Amino acid sequence: MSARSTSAPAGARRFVEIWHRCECLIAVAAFSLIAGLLILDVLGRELLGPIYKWLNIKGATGVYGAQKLSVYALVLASFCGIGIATATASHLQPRVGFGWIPKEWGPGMDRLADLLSGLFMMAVAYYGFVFVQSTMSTGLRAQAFNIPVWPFQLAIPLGFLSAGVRYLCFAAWPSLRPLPPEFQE
Amino acid sequence: MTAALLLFGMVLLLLLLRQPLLVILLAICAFVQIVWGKGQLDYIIEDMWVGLDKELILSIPLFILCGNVMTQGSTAKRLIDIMAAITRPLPGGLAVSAILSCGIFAAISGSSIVTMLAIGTVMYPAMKAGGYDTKFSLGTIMSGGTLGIIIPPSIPMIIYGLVTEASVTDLFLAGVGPGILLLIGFSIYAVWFNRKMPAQKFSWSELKLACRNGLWAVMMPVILLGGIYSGFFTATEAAAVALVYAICVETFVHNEMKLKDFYKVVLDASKLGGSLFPVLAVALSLNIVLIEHHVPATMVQFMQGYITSPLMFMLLVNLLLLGVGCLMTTGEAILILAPLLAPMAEAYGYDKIVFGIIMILNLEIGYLTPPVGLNLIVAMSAFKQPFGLLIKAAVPFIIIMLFCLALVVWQPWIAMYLVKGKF
Repeated sequence: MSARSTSAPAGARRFVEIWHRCECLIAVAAFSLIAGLLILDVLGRELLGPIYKWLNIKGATGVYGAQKLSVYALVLASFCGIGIATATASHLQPRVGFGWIPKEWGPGMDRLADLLSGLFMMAVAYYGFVFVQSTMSTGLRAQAFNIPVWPFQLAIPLGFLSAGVRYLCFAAWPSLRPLPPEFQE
Repeated sequence: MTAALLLFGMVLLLLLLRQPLLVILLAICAFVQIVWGKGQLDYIIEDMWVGLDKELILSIPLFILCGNVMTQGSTAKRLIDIMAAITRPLPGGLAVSAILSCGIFAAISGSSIVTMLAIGTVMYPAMKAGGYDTKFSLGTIMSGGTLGIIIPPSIPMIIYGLVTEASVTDLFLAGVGPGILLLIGFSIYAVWFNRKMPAQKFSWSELKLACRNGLWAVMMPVILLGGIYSGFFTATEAAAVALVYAICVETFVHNEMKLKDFYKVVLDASKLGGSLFPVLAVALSLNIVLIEHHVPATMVQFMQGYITSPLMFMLLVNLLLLGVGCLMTTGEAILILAPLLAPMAEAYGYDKIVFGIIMILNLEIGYLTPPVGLNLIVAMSAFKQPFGLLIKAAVPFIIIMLFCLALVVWQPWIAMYLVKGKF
């Protein structure tokens, strides 16, 4: 990103870089939590379980609610990931339409694409907040832990909001736009 | 009809406007909700939440992490040493060892590109130095890489299982037969193509040394797949165990991974997850909307009005998927087409699991066909070879893959034997 970001205002560049780093840290923490929880759960059940049985001890061996908590962590990581994928141009992108317009229109079309994606993501974020609000009002709770689920659901609109604002930044300052990866599986 | 044409036009416009798949799928969901549904767009977000609230999804980041950890170190090199020692007495033994190494690595990584690069960066220079034909060597590496998505664990299989509600364990079991069939097909071709090359002497001491160095790497697929197939672990638990094993082996046995490397590995997995999971959530949301509005059932009725023969249906679907494989990546194709095509295949009497394997076999060929053949594109930059040469190199292997695909369509037990335990 840095090589092409020279013409963008320094403040804007610094802002998106710090923001990207924060999203990466949250996603790494969430993925590490998923891996840690599931590993402890399986090892506890498969290793501690037989030992407890042998010693005739009654008690939990796995981590209580590990899978459910991991799913919530995955939601958090995934929607932080929308921002990360936007910042690193890693979104799955069908390229079939790229050749339908003259090549020289490319940069202008990219800018228009960013503007449209940004506005679209903002609209999705709005409906995300509507959804979270309705969950809050009904008082829906996670069964395994008896805690409200809306803080976890909040990751959805926030992720779309993050991606939307970033796309609008790219539309405003195209030099901030990351280069697309060479290939994508 | 007008609404369907409008929807088609909107998708074309979004493709022209270079929108990511996430936006295109969300726009389709919104269109369906507004035109055919109650017009409440927050339902889309609710369906995304419901779609992601599945424990099976957890296996995807774990398999991605596991593959990333194993590719950090020298696992691929250790596997290759064992295979090379075994296949030395064959003419074209090095090529066969490249294919078999790809097969075993595929049982660790679940990704086509990772498999091709992990094995290819070691084997391509070795094959060139061993006097193997350049075109043949490239074809071997590129096609061997495609085994990554058919030999379990396979991320496309997990995605297919999620969007069609098919059992991932059954899909993993069903992938073994076609995977072995492809390994045999590629290996026979490698021996035949290199039949004039001198065979080398087999050495027990070389094999023993290679096994001693590579035992931990070879044990990885045994633990992973053995755990799933014996019913000891679910796919998600097996992925967790495999990840612990991979970290322990790379950190304490091979001494090739430090704590700071783990941050990079997790960050790479996060980037991949960030691009995949939101799209998966939207695709699952779209799936729920389509089922609510009986779209797959209507399509089945429509199709059966024109095509009555299951064979004709399968032929057309294969042609469609081969075409789609040339234009779209595997993930995109499965997310969009699997929820629509799988119910049709079931209506024509095909098992959902077999159809998943047929779909993945078709899309696997797409890795070697231009213009979006990913293994061609990656090989072009990794091995610094012209695109035209790579396409020519892939042709004989594509023919073998088409032959294997036809065999699986004709004799589905190749895939289903391990699932049902009978022919």
